[in-house]
Amino acid sequence: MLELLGHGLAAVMNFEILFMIACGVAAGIAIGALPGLTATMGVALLLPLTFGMDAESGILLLLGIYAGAIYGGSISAILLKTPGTPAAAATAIDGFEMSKRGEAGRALGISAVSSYIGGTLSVILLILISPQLAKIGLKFSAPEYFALAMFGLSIISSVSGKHVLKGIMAGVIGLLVSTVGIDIVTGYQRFTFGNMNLFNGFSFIPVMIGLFALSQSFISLEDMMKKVSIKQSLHRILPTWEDMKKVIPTALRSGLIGTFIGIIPGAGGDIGAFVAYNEAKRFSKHPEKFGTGIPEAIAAPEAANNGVTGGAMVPLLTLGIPGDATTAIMLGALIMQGLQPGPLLFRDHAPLVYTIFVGFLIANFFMLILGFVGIKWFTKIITIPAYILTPVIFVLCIVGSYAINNNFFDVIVMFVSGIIGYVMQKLEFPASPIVLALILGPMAERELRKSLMMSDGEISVLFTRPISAVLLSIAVITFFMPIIKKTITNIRQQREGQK
Amino acid sequence: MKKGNMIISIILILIGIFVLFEISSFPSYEGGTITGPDFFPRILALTIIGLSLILFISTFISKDESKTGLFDIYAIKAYITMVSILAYMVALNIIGFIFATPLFLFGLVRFYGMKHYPKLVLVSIVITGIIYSVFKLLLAVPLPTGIIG
Repeated sequence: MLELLGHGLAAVMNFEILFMIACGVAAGIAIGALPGLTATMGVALLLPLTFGMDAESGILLLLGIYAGAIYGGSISAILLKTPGTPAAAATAIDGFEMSKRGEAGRALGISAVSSYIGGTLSVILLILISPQLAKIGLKFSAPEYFALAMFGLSIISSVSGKHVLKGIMAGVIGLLVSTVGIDIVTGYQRFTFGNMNLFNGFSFIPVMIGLFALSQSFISLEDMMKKVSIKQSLHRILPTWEDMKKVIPTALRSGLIGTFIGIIPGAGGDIGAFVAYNEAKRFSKHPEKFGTGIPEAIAAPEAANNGVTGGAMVPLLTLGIPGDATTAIMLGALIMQGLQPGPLLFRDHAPLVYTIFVGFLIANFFMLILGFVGIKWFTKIITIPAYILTPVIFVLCIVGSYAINNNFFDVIVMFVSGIIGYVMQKLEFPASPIVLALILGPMAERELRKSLMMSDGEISVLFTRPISAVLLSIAVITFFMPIIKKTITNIRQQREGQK
Repeated sequence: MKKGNMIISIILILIGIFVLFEISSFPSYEGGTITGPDFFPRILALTIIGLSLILFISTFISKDESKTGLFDIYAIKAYITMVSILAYMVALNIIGFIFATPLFLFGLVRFYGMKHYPKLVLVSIVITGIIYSVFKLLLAVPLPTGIIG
């Protein structure tokens, strides 16, 4: 492993790659800092930029955006009490309190350091855990892969928030859309209506740009006129030693929590941050001070949400199942580069995988440096008025989907997905299940039918093989967990209502 | 929301029926060792019909009074935006990126409320320039050139 890491380090120490990582991190922080632009949107929007690049630069640029955006969300959380991304929601509590006292610089500094600690710790764990998991994955055959795809799909119920039924419906529609194109088992054309652009199915990158960037911008049109101004002056950004003594242990513990939450598919940065915040409060000698603007309360969510970034890469790289919407787009990016994530990636492309690992560490380091050096610049970006920014996003959506294949059909797919996404949001249908289903659908179908071929049509093959049986049981539990939880809370509330 | 839910349920049921109708003409592999192309879509179509029925019935008996907001005054802004994006897409095919983009930006930023014309012109041209240089010149990503480009 050390040899591979050495190789990765040598590969990353190349001007072009370092430059791309730095650009990605800077763009990511800016995107994250802008309220309304999320990490998912940033990765989807800038993904087309990476088509012409080699795999290392392209993937690392996107990872830079991912890490940067998750950190950047804290900037507007601290200065405006508006989290730039959902993952920074917990940071807004104490971050803004500190900022109100005129200590915005201190809060931003703590956030940068904690994000760095959490992010770096998670990449180290990613490096340690994923090769082991990939080794287990190598033993998998069709029934296990089907079970994995079902496990990936089972998180739909937990990413759907309040609207589980609608989330599942969106997922089934996504699965149906994923069947468009030539059937890989029989070669029969399904639902293509003779349109050549559909022979290989819908390409999911335009769909994702439409669902996550375009429709989100339509929604944000409604409260566009709000004027943003930042009154706080920034001074003393570098944390003092006194602060560091409180921040480091909290950040390490929260980074660990974040990483493990990231590994669980379906739980993203927002959940990680809140869990870590609560844990830090429980661990603290004076929990009553949480909420008044103390260093630990900023360190915990910030370390945890960046911890999620490395954690979420574990199932993506080793098993090919994305943990959330952002890693779903990363999966799309890897496939675009001709790389199929999964255990074989570690066997066939080990040098590339380790280059990504080392590059991810460097991305976190750049994030720390930019967090200190560039903070004044990033706070200016927040003040870009939405009435200029939104039209620019529209242009980028169109240019980006055109760039994939120089094909206007993709632009139309993106546009239609954007409108569907807008109507879906208005009707409270979550969008991420569609994307998960589009990506995992072909895998689920292919492996299910391959399994049935292996067993001459006996469905029991899925349950008699131990690993597949275990994975399917986990999938069932994951799927029903939110529903069970909801029922329990409902019953509890009813009982309390009766009293 | 009630009306919206019921309409969407009906649309999805119709989609499910359409899928079932389409796959009835797929070649049959029944009795063979492999599953046919209709195998997976059939499961999904039946599932979506079932789930839509659940949504329809549960909405029907619920007392949800909330609005979807699809016909709000705010939503009109989104619809006008959609139409202008469509116009921009057509323009890209005719006059290409360099000419269509500043026009699109100018129109939309004006519509969203910026009234200072010299600033508007400057913003439209500068942003087009930045996107063009980053995509086309720096990264060699192709941009639509239109028929005259």
